[in-house]
Amino acid sequence: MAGLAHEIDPREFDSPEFQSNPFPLYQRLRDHHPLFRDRFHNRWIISRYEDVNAAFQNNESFDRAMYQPDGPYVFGSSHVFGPNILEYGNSDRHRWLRNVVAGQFVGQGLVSFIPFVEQIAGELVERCSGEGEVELVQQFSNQFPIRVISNILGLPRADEEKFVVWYQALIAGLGFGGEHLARGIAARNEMWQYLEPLVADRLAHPKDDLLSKLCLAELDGVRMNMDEVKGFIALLLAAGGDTTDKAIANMWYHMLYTRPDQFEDVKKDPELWDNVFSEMMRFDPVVHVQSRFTTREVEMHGRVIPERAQVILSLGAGNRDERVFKNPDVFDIHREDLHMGRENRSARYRSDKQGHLGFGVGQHFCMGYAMARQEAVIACTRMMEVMKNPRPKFATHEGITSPNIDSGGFRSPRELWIQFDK
Amino acid sequence: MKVVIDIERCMMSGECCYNHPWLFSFGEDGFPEVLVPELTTEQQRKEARQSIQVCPSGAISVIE
Ligand code: HEM
Ligand code: SF4
Repeated sequence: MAGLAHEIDPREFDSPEFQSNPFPLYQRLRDHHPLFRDRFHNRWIISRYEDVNAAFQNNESFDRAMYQPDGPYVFGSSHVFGPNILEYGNSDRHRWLRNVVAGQFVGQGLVSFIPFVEQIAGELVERCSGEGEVELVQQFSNQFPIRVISNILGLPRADEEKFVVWYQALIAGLGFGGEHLARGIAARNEMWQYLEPLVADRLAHPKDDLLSKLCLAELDGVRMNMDEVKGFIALLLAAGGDTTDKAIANMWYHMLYTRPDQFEDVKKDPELWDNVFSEMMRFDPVVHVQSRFTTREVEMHGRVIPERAQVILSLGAGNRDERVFKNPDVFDIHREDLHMGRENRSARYRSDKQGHLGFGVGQHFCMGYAMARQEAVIACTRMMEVMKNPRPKFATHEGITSPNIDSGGFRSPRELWIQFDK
Repeated sequence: MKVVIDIERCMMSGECCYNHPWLFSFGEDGFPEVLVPELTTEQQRKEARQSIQVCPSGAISVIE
């Protein structure tokens, strides 16, 4: 019997304590309320590794479509991205849209972009290596993935700065309402105006870039309309940019503050940045929650979730599940129970190790998983080559926070000052 | 024409099964299985070629 001490007041999810350190509450959820009915926010929360993993893979019972199951997006809604793949649920249309771009971010398509990623990382490191210290978030990580994506799309390099600005406004509009949302939508509209002639140009004179592929892809003889193309671009800039930049900052944070002892190992063997990435994606990933809607009644832990209910898949909690990972609250890049290489959409590995849930699993598994890992590892490796003997500028740090976790607020340090020898 | 999977190279990524569920499905052991023994329609052949593109390990190929 769960005692009163274990009862959860749903308002705890909105508290500043939860936003800076959600893990104690995650533990109470896993141990005492593996299926939690949050009446206050009108949703259900699941938190154990096995349950979260299974829900991600259960397309028959859980769908991501936000508006109508499988339904078309109603243009003009208040979502900052506009129409995009995130909203197509589990339909064939989703599969098709994914296929249009999936080949670019995995497999051979990805390999061909690596030199480019190297080049952009090199340029940025060069730019911020002059002073002997750097504020990683603003000077590097905020700048890097957005440039990579806009180049893969084939947008003019001269306009990169514009994209950095738009994208930061878009992201701010994602997690918050009111003024931020208004600014996000304004940025989106500006960006779309900018994109229109480019899209028209690619339709008339296709090139060998992703923008052309998006414009020309056909399903049963039908192309995406202009709004869908633009929505897709907004999504790629945001989903591919903001997440990866925060991943880079989180990796450095953990090396500088959580495990300076293991940082010494990484300095000796930079290939270990791959392990840092994997363990960061388990321990405290950028994204902690994904939302689904039930398509039918679902039985779980002796209770029934009704049809059309919102269910939160708490992957941040699943990653700390002691039923799966030993000493889950310890950040350890040499962990033996975690698969350290590239992630799998199926969540299965040839070894008997478990994967982290930080990219989700299954149908909607992050499309940029291979890209994100490559970008992050290349960036960190380049930085260490140029910035010798990196160390924290300040002895203490407020830690990783999330401005608003329920709205998908991504977790990362607000600032991260690093000093190094020139 | 057939689509074949080299199980030694396969890294169980699941990309083929999720992107082309009419051609592949997961077996009990977590490895993909080919559902269509012979690629008879143009659509099937097209999907088979696309599946080569999304496979991260280069395990999928098409043989005559
Ligand atoms: C470390 C960085 C990243 C993290 C933590 C991350 C996280 C995630 C998660 C958790 C999902 C699953 C959504 C769901 O289950 O509903 C997702 C989906 C997605 N991600 Fe990422 N992502 C990252 C990088 C990227 C990059 C670099 C790109 C683009 C190149 C990208 C593009 C996408 C897209 C398009 C989807 C939707 C896929 C679908 O619905 O089929 N992400 N991401
Ligand atoms: S896409 Fe390739 S690596 Fe992934 S499961 Fe299929 S055959 Fe295996």
